Amino acid sequence: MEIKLTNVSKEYDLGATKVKALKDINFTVDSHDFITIAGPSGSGKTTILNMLGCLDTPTSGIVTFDGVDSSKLDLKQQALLRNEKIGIIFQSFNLVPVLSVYENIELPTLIGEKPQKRKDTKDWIMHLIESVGLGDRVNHKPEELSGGQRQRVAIARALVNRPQLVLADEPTANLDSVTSMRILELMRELNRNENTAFVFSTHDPDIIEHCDTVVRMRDGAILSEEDVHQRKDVSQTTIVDGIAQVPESDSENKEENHA
Amino acid sequence: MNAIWSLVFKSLLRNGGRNLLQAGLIFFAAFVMAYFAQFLAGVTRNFTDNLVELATGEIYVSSTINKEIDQNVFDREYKYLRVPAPFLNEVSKLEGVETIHPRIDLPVRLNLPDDTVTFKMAAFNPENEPRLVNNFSITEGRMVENDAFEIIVPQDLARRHNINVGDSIPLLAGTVNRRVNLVQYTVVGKFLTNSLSAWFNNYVYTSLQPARVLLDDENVMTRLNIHLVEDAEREVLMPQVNALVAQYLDNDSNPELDATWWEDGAEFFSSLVFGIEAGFFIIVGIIMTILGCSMGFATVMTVIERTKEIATYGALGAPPKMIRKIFMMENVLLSDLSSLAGIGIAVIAYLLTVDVGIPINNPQFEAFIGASHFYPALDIGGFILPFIICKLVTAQVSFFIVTSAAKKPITEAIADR
Repeated sequence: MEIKLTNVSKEYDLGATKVKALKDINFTVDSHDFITIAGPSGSGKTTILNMLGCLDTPTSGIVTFDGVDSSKLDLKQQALLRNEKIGIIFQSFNLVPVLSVYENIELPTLIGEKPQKRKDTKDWIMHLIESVGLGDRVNHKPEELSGGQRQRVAIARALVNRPQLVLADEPTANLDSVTSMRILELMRELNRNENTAFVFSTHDPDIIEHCDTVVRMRDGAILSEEDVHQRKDVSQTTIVDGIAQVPESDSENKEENHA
Repeated sequence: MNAIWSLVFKSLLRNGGRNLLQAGLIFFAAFVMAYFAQFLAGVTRNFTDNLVELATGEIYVSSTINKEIDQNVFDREYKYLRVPAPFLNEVSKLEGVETIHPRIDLPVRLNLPDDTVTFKMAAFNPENEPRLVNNFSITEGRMVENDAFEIIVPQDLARRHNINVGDSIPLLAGTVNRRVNLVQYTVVGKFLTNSLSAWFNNYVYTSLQPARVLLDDENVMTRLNIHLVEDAEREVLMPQVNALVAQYLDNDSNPELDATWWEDGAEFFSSLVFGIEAGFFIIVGIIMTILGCSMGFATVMTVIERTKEIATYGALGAPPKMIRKIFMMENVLLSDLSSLAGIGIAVIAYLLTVDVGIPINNPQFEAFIGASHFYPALDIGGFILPFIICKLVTAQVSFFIVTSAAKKPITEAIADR
């Protein structure tokens, strides 16, 4: 699996003003990756996750999933791609309020084009529930759970279809450190055993510490992409007075794209 | 799929109050539509039965002018009919014929002491037509006797012209041979009619023979109503009657023809049934409009409240079709259950009222339909149609709104609070 963002920019039209959320981003996610995107609020972390998850389309540039341009996919194909290959953990959980913990986690297995009828699905769901520490809350509704417990349901739901890529927006924001570590271990296990790639958007130093790669962002641009173990700068950008500068050649490409 | 149904059921319970209101409306609409259809079928049947019994028979040979001449005896063009006795004998002997009722109607002039009134006279055989006799409510005096020069008059006519029982009134009419004839009749009764009042009240009534004297032709009549036994088939008997008509009747009898009474009658019935049907459709239309608006409002509210949920389904990989399906299932399930419940209650109401009827308590309307009670009649289509209509309305409204909602960009919808 490979997801590639090539010269991706995203601009939001807010009426009188236009906000550039991403500026000419080049970024690749492969199998095995365990990446953190770090940066202050408004730096473009969530927008990148949306691009990777085919939830949003770039204003310019290309997002490819295994070589296929995602903008060429229709809504149905995008939905199926998300259902089968991508798991998403939302910052605000987005659980279905009328469904129990088990049913919320089961949901992605049912709403795709071909609902799963695998015998081991139930066992897998129960394993996930146990793994996120909600074994005693299987039949509880979201309103009966704490913020941290809801977050764990959202995590288990993202993993249920054994996706190739998991996108997580602040996945441990509402969790205590013990639970955070437990969930990170589960994710790492999936990363190693099933080649599931993980991309986190977070401020959590524990996650940053556990990741292989940290991508630092500011003002819609990637400042650096570093291997946590080697602390190696591979950025195509430089920083002048704290502001990301795009190389000249990229600026030309951008202008061409806009033209 | 069971889990999706579970989701659908649970979602319906989420907005219990609103959904209950919506369900109640659909229930009511389905009930009204389904029961009213049975009711309308009953009223129409009452009309038809009454019409057949009192005015037409299952087959009739009429002097009425009709344009499509060659189709059947209903449509043959006759003037005053000269009907020889063998024709009547042979018709009455046909297998399947129960009774025959010759009738005459003609325009007459009543020479009253203070006025001259142009009116209509109808003649029948009071001994052979008990149903028609029972149709009259004699308010004073008695019914005419066979072959006597007697008439009964509508109470309203008697009141307006001060006609009393026992009065002798000269009646003038154009004869079959285009002469004017005058015959003296005695008023023996005043009447109100129990049915089809507007129509029957336009006549004074006598028996056949005195009317023939007035028309100066002992074989004349304007129509022959033929009543069939219950299991006889009209289509089988029609050609046989037609053959006898061709054999015995002279259809060029007399140009002085009054052919309008049946057309007026038919028009009256058609207008009445049309009026009832129009009323029904107006009621259904109002209900459907309210239902559609309610469904639309409820769906819009649901979609607004659940925009984020819709986006979540999309983000988790539900294709737009699946999202539509989930919401449509909610609405269609609500609609199906409610409309089926409404139709079920309509079936029960039908079964409860089919024999006992519902008292009308309105003399005019009782007279219109020829019965003191409404009796519903089974109309299967009337049970199925409301279900289909409710399903279509809810499906259409839901489809439109949910389709619009599903198109909202996921990131935008997810961000909604």
